[in-house]
Amino acid sequence: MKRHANRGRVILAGFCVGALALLSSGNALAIPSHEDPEKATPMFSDVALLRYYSDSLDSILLKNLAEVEAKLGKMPLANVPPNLKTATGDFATSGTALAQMVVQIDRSLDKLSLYREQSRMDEAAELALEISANLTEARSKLDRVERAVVATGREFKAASAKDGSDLKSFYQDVQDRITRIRGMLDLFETSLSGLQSTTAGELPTQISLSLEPMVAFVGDNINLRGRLASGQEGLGGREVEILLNNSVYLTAKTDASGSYIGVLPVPYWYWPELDVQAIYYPRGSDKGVYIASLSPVVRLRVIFYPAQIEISPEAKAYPGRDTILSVRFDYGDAPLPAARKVELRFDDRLIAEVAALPEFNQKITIDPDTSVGKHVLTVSSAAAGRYAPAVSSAFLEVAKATPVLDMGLLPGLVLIPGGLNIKGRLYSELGPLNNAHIELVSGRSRVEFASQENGDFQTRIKLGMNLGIVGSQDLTIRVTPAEPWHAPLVITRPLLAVNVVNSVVIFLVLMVLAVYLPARLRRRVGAYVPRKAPAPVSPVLAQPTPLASKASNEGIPPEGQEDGEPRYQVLYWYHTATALLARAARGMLRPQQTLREFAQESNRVLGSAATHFMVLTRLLERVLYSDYQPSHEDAEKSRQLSISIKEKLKG
Amino acid sequence: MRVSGLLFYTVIIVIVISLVFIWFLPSIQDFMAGNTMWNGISGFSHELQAENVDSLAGLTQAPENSVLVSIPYLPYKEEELTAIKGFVDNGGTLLLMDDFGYGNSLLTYLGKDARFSNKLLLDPLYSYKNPSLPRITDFTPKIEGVDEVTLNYATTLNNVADQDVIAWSSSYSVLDLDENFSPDESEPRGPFPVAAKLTAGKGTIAIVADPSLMINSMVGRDDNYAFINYLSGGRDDSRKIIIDRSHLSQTPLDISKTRLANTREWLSNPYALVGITALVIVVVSRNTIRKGVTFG
Repeated sequence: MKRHANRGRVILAGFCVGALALLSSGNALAIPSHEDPEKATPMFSDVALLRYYSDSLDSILLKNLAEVEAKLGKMPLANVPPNLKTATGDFATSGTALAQMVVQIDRSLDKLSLYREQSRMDEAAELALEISANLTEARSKLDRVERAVVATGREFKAASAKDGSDLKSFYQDVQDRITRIRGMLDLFETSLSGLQSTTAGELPTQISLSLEPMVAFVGDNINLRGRLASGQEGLGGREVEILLNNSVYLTAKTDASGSYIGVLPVPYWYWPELDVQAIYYPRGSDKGVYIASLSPVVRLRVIFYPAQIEISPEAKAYPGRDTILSVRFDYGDAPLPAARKVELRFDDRLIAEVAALPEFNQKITIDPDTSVGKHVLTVSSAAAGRYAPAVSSAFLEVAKATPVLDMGLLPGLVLIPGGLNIKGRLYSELGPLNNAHIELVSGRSRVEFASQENGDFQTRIKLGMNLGIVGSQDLTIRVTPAEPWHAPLVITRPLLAVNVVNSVVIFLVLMVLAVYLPARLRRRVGAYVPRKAPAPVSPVLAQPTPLASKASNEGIPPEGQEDGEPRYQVLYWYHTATALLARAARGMLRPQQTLREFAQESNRVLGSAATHFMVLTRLLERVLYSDYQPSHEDAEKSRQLSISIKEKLKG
Repeated sequence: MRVSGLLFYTVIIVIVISLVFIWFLPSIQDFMAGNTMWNGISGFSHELQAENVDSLAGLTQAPENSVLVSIPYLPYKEEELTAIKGFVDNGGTLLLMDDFGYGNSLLTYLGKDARFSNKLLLDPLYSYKNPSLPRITDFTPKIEGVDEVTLNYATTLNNVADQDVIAWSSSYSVLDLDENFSPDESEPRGPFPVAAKLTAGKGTIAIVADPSLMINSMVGRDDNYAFINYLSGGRDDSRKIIIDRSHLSQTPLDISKTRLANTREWLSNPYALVGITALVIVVVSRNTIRKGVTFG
């Protein structure tokens, strides 16, 4: 037996070790694909930073402001040593400012050159001052850039790097570029000086301008007149340019007296006011003789018919469906135009071009692939004669309708194995979902089908066997609509599932375990588990007190006699039984307690002997409390009962 | 106590302790949803309420609103390739995140020209701490709300049409051909495509040259989360994210945890419980019978 037990343990241990090995076996493949960024070792590239400096300075030299801003704007993202943060920040800020100034100075010099060419000395002088100030500022910025570069070089020990090394070479490149930028600024200064120099002896000129009328519709012609003179002398045969809002619009020629007249067609610009000026600058033989002049500004009031467009899209539009846009033109008191075109755009995409009525509704079909969210609808009408252009925009909310799944009440309880009949209807605010793909999943069961034209559907999902007994099981319904205007839908409903087969099997197994096995065990080993008796209340062993027939009981020894009269024998065997009971469970007959009460109280302790003890008690009661004369058979019976009780208590 | 008894109880104690350790010791393996450390994806998985699957066999048949995230560190089987192709063709979104794994075999199967270069991308200038953690700052204008993304030991993409590229590395980046983790002058310079979006059938394939974007220590860095969100189709509550765990290399601990979880699940079914109860009763009863024990 012992050997068998050991073998069993070894087998069990082996099984456990095997199970553990199975749990812990595996083929790990370690591929280093990242490192902990918090623990990553910092590494800085001196060459990369200097190359970056060099590239940025190149862009300054090329006067490419957009490129400089794009490059230096990313400086905070560059990986640089912490003690170079200030220097690199300075480089970026000053470099960007320097680039802006270089571009501005370059443009200003071109403009100055034009002014100079046109002998517009006053404007030239003003601009020259501005350029000069910018040049000073640019030099200051370049100095800061240089200081940042020097600080960087110091940090990377560029000066002591080997000749021909990448570090030395790139550092030198950056220094070269700084030198070139300084040279560029010097060149700007030289150009400025050249343009500032004036020729002595040039004569000032004056030019006047008047308009008639001072108020006109767009497209109307107005008369202009004026005079060009140098001192009192009119300058004849000179070209005078008429500027509209500082741009040359037309040219007039002075007559012999220096006067000029002309017709100014009011452009279709739809601005309420236009600044008109006349300018003269010397050309040909006048160069070096006269100085340019600019007339005072004459403000022309321009009239036109403005229009307001009110557009009212629907609150929601849906991909693949039409939506109606209401458009209304408001011309105020102005007469309505005879014909006008309107363009409709959806997110900058032209979707319709129609003749504009003062009020109309336009149908728009939303592309099925349009993403949900806000889109911009723009209605514009180009200018037409006296009618100013008009444009108006509004947001259009494109959304997908959320389907509603109407299945009524699902049964609260489903039985497994079995099935669930499901019937319902799919619809939304836009109508039924036609041919929508519906997928029902519950546990391992799945069924797919499509809805009917009116959105109705009916199916049965089989609920196959599983290992559960009773519990909640989710029924997931996924709806993928066929129409682009409907959104997908996923709904999960809990079902209380009862697995009938499992429940019956487990009930039977439990029954076997609870009823059959203990019975078998009892039969095989005779083992019985008695219950513990309650603790004794009193240690006093009370004697039965005859109540009914004191006289008849007189002379009976309290503990009876084994071989005396039957009456004494019955008492003796009862006493023997109570003594056994007292030994087994320390149970005593308490004072004032009847024999029957004592017998009932001792039932738990006696177990299967309880019946015997009750019979013995009744026999004694009869002997003690009545006139009954017990026979020898009664004595023998009491002896048998006492022995049975003894045996059962021992067992 | 005999030696066999001592051995028996020792084995039992060792097993119990081992099982407790396996159960409670957190995973430390890369890209595991149960790994809350720097290299796990518990944050990403929790934030997007992603479903982690150990097999591609049950991929949904109506994947229009589903995103399958695949990190192919183990080769695909033929049936897995077929399942993914079906998923994409039917309208699903495949987010293929790879650096040095088996992503090219999937792209080949899907009939796409794009390939992972499988070489390390280094950026000595735009990077976090060191060139192996490059920062991406050039994106297609289609992306909103993403200005910078930090990668972690990434690679680059080849054969991607310009209109399909959605992110490029900087012009200072270098492809580390000689694998010395140092940008050399002779090595190719950027910009290189690092992310692209392609269409396939009714679906979309988003390719990213670095799966580490989504690990716990990276997903919250810069605009990484917004970028992943864009790649997986934007914010949409009904969107279902499925993470394919079957192509990730796993440590013995992860495998043991999975198997232990499966065993626990199996043991929790009623038949197993009844079986165990019966076994215990039988063992105790046999012992009792053998020893002739009586009670009372």
